[in-house]
Amino acid sequence: MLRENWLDLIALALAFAGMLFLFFYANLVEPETVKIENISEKDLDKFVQVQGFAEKINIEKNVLWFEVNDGSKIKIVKFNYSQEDALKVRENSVVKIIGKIGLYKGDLQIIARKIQND
Amino acid sequence: MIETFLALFFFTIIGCCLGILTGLIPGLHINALALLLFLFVAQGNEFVLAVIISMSLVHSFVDFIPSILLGVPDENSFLSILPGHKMLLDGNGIKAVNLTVLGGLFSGIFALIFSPVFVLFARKIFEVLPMAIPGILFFVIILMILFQKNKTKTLIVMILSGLLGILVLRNLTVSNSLFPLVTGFFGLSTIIASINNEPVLPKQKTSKKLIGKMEALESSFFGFFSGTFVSLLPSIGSAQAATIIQKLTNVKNSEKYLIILGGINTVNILLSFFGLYAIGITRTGVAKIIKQILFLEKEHFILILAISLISIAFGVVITKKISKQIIKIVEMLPYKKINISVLIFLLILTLVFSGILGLTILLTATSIGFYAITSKINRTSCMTFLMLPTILIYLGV
Repeated sequence: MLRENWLDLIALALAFAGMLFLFFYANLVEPETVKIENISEKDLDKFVQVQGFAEKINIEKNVLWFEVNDGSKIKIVKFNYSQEDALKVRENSVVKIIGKIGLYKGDLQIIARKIQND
Repeated sequence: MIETFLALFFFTIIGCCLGILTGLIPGLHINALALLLFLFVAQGNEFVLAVIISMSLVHSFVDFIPSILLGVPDENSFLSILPGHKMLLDGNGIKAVNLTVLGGLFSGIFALIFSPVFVLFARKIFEVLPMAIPGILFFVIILMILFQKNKTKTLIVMILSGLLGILVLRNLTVSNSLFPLVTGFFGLSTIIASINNEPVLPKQKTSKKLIGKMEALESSFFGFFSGTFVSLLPSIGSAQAATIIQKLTNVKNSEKYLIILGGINTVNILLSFFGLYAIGITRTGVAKIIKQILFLEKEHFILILAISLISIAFGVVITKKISKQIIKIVEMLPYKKINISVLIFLLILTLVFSGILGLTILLTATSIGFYAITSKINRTSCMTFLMLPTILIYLGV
């Protein structure tokens, strides 16, 4: 016979499993910082974190795009950017970008998830 | 990383707390709150995703409390009033709520285990299944007539309910039209019958034993199975799925039926998020809103899974706790006065949400529901109010 308090025990196990998955997700989307020169096509769809100077900033309707320079350069694209994002990205300011590596017209780029000032 | 983890966990808990409110307060819908959030947040916000998913899942557990303990229906859980009220009058109200919790928990676990397969095959299921729906519903209607002792009166109830459903849902412009219908058929008619019979609410038992393990697993599986269809098919709601599965499996036992209902409710909302992730379909209002806020990418599968696990756990624990507190309050007050208060509350709510026309619909549906009670016809016969319009939609009429 199933007892009422077993539901609480199972719920506790689920909550624990949920926290583990949440921790795994947070780790997945907040990776270690890498040098841009080490990013290649084999890293497509991976999450990376890069840090460098912001250059060639462009703002269009829903897209903010610029380059980050840490000795090597890569294009950064942020879709549906917020006011806060636009303020953080100034010419030659140091920015930290977390995002997914993608390929656009043969060039590697990072689709930004998070933009921070260092 | 720790920051992101803590922030997501915090927003999940916020969502869980909102789910308690939407589940307990009739008329406060998860869609309305989700829409409010949408209006005030930036795009691409995963924290809002956490709030919406957790709110919806906790709501799917908590909304059985007002249905079962007070007879106040929700558009997804109203069928629980019938077996739930019966168990309440037998002194097993808490057990009735716990059975829906069991259903939500076990069916939810089945759904989460099945979710990777669901994601892979969602499109195929979505393309094939609609062809079978009119036939299944028609078959169920025939079964509903055949299983009743008084077939003539059953047919009368089914025809009247079906006609009212077609008139209201397809022809009239009434805001929140489903509310007066479900309230009339299953809520108000039960309350009036209850007042008429001068009920005395017995002391509610606190039995720790729920149901046999195999019965629990079997019923939860049916709940998961039905909830999967509901999550994919337009115009098939939890109530229709529950009626179909009840007739096809011939479940007469109230306890098993409540587990199935609990399962369908949770699985429907859970798999609607995975359906959105897999093929971009939006079967629920909250899924539509998520689609506006965030483009779901591969890694979001893990996030949806994580939030779902935490929210289901929260829903289980909080529903059990709240139902015990509410039952203590209900036991202290004269049951007839509670019934009268709920009756007045439902009338006012209908007037506020659906106007004078809504009130007319409510009274008509109540009359049909009350006729079913006095004629000793199974009130699920009134489900034709949803089934007939659904058949017409799938036939393209």
